[in-house]
Amino acid sequence: MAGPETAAGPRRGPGPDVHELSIANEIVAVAERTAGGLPVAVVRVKVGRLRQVVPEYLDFYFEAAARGTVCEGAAMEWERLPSLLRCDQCATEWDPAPAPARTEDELLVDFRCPGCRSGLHSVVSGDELLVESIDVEDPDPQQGRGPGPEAGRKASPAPGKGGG
Amino acid sequence: MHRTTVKVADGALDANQTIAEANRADFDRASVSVVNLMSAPGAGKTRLLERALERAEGNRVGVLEGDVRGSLDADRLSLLHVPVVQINTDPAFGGECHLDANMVRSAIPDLPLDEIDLLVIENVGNLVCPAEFRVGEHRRWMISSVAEGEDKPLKYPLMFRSCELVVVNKIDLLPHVDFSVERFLANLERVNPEAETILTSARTGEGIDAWRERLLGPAAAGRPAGASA
Ligand SMILES: Nc1nc2c(ncn2[C@@H]2O[C@H](COP(=O)(O)OP(=O)(O)O)[C@@H](O)[C@H]2O)c(=O)[nH]1
Ligand SMILES: [Mg+2]
Ligand SMILES: [Zn+2]
Repeated sequence: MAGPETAAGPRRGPGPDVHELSIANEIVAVAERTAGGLPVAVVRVKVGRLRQVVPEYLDFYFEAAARGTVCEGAAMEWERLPSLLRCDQCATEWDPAPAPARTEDELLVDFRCPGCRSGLHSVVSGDELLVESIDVEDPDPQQGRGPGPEAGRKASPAPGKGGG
Repeated sequence: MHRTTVKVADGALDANQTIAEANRADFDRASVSVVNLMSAPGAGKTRLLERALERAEGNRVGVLEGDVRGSLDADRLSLLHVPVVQINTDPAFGGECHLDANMVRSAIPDLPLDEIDLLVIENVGNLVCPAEFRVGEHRRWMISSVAEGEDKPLKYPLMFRSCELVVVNKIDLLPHVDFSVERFLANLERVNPEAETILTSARTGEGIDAWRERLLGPAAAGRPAGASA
């Protein structure tokens, strides 16, 4: 069978499936673009529960994907974000795929509004697959040589402050 | 050494998304409507395309074949006299499990976009990665065969949620498998209440006219074989 059992349910273990490897490659590429050539120590990732990505496997494949890049040896820290929808009709908010209390319990997946049964909704949380931030090793912060020109294009760190 | 935190807040798949949007702009410029056809391996993507296209006279359809088993599927489809382009997925590093926007981009120069109105992209058989990687398609459809089990929508919610049409294929096998169409549709409805469904058997032909009509429009459906209208 194609892929692993994911997102709404547990699955067996890293096997022939390479789904998380292709995602890990994309994560390494984002970190590389941001790092401006400096070695990366930490990559922080946010994964919503509605994604078919299992963060534990992302860990496993990240190491492989990072080999030979500035991310080699970096730690990946991931945060799982809860799934939450809001009904377009009546504004009820609900979790469409709550984690079963016990592994043997049936999955209670329901994307139809529990309030009015509408099928139209917006995702409040759970669709994320984000590289949130990275830590780079800056060899000489005193000279203000922070991350490269592309780095911090969205938010600049304050290089050199705070010691380390 | 000094450690500096740099905020990124980029989607991990943003780069793919940018290329997908460029592909879509190319398709729009050429007025080509693009369907991304996805399924688990062996659900019947190629067979259903053959059944639809064997009566596609007058329809300007092309196929981009991304399935990984050599060029077998492309060879089968080219017998139907539609332009077929085989995509070469990179066999190293995870390239075999899905098409990404860049692979489709590299195939665009080989596609006769001026000669077609509809492009069907047969994605690699997999229910996981194709759910994540957009390629520039207008419509996302999937095929689920009754041999796969009725709980698939609950196990691959992202995939089933991202498709507007789910074709339930191989219904000729229903007497032989433990699959309740009713329970499958109920599971699908829990994940994607808005999904449209068509039940088909590419073997017996049941539902094939509805499938062909959905793919090619009413003019192409139900036309007797060999008729020229
Ligand atoms: N019994 C039955 N077999 C089918 C049906 N559709 C496809 N098949 C068979 O299933 C196998 C896989 O089909 P194919 O179209 O290659 O699947 P793909 O991998 O999704 O492209 C082939 O042997 C087909 O002949 C169907 O409706 N009923
Ligand atoms: Mg095929
Ligand atoms: Zn509601």
